[in-house]
Amino acid sequence: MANSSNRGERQGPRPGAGLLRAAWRFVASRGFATAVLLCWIALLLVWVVPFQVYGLPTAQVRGIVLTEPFFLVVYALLLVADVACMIARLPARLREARGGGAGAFARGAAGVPVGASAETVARTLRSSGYGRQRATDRGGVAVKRGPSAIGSVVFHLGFVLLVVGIALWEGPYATFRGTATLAEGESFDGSAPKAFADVAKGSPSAVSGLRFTVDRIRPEFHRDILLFTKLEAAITDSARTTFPVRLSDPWFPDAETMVAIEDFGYAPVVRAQSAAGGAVVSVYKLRAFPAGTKDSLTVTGMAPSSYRIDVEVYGDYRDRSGKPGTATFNLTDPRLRIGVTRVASNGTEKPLFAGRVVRLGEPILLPDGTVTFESVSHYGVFRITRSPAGPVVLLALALCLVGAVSRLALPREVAEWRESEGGIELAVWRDVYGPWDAGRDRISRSMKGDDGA
Amino acid sequence: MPDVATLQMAVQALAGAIAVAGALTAVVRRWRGAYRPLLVVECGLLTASAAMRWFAAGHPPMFGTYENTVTAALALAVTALAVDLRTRGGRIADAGRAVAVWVPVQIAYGAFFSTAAYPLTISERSLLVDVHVGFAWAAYALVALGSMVALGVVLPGRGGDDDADAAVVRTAGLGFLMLTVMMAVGAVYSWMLTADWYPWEMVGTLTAAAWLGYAAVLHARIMFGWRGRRLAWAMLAVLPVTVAAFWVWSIYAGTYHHFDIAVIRAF
Repeated sequence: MANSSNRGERQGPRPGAGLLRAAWRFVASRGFATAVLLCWIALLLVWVVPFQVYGLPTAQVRGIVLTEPFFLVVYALLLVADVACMIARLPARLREARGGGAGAFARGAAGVPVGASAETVARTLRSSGYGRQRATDRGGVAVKRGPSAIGSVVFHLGFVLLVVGIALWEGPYATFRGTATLAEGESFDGSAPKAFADVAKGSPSAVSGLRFTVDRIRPEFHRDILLFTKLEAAITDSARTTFPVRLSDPWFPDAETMVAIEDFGYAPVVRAQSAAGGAVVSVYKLRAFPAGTKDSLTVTGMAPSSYRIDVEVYGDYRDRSGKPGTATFNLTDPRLRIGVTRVASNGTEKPLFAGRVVRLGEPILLPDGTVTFESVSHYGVFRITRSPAGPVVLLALALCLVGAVSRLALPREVAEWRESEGGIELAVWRDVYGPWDAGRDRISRSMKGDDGA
Repeated sequence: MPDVATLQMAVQALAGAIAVAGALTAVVRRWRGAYRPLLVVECGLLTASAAMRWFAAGHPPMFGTYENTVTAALALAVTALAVDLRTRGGRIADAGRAVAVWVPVQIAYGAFFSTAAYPLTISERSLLVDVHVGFAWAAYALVALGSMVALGVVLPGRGGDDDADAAVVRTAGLGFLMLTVMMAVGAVYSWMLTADWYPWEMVGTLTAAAWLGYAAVLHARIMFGWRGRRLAWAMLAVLPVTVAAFWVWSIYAGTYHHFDIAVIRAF
């Protein structure tokens, strides 16, 4: 039965509503945001830096910073604090951007008499860029660069977007990263089964439509020093357009895909002429840099044996008292120091010779035929990445920069004038930096000339 | 006739001697009259030194510790001169003179490292790197100035005032902005170079900590109204992290920012 005395009475507050409000106030508070910021600083200095001093590899440190639970909690709290602070403060910032908000005197700026009329003050301020003006009960307020007020909101929005973008980039789904090893003249086809030498993340199907040919690879070293001064490649895409690719200047086939050259090696072209008459020409990719580094290749096509050839490449050959040497680390006048081992069909190995220096084009006589190193070119290690996070992170960085520049380099200025005993006095305030006496005095000086008072 | 690189080293050494004299006039009151002229000469010599090094090496002076001390000293000297020209005594002028004392220290530090001029290695050949380094030294000079203002506040018997607070906040704000630009440009370049948005190596970690530290200083001022000694101590607390971020790579090779190359010659 209904209780008539309860009919029409207002319901009490819902349980938990007060708790929610308190939680919101806490999360949107300056104290919470600053505390989380300080936690992050502490984690970096107390946890990460000591590991780095100890010598932990960068990849492991990176893993700590990006995946360790302590850090993830801090990032989550930062996101929450950021978003809450932006929501809580956006109305006030928008009001300030439109010319509203407290005047300079209310904010604590000191005023000085300007010896001019209120109209002169208003006119001078307008000509100085203080366009947004409104009257107060004793004078007026003028604002310059009002939109800068939302600079901090833009910056923090950029920061939120940055965290989202990095999470996307590092996450398991959105980003593909792989490396392909290609010699000069070779083509890359993203849809081919073994297009990649290594896949670090994601599925190669993300770049199945990518095709290009490597025309040229040019590494260069400074004089006789192992100082890498150039690594350039020229690649041609499926539309027959050629692009330069450098270590510091990748190729972007589209907004989400990046092709960069990371490293290089030597790619000798070897002709194996069998005694029976057949010839096989193969390109090998050796890890034989710098000079003196040994790698090996296996020559087949001279049945019944195959031959393992140990190779050292001396790119700018010099004879150093009977020992091979190199004048520079460039591929200027290459010779190869080789050792050959015959591998029988049953797997038995028999070293034939070692330490022989051969020229390009010089035939090397073997029991089952002749091997000739016809030329030595280069191969490149190409890093291919694709991620929708790239444009997101770039946009986030742009927002951070725009917000920071507007808020910190071009802050909103509030000029206020009012009647006082000594006449009209003027005060100027800058967001972030507070009272701006120098600006006030400059405007005041210009008014004295203007008014003729 | 000595080559440009040798001449540059001579000019840098002369700038160092002038900087020592300038630092003395900054500190000893009765010699104060010679401070500005010496500072002008010092800036001129350091500018010439940087230009000559640029010519000799074929790139802006930013490769290796010696070149970076050339640039850092120039940034600090110009900052000290700008402060001296714009102020007439007071705390900010004192801070400018304190910055001038850093200059010979910077130059002397560079003398311990190889002065050989090399072309840039491939990872440094980008306009983005030039921009990154330019903003780095701008940030360094600004926070150095702000830290010297803060030092003047915390010294016994001094205390703070509105001008000092304003200077600390302004330099922290602009320094934070310069660091933000530096880090944003560096992040883009790191992504292009390594497909990694941020290198969490020693320099990257310390820089992130310093950047967050100056953010905390700004928050302390804007949101909590910190002023005087509290604000000054907050500013000074970040200084060791900043100095470490800017110079640890000169003695610790395990970072992408280490460019005092080991000379390995062909044999």
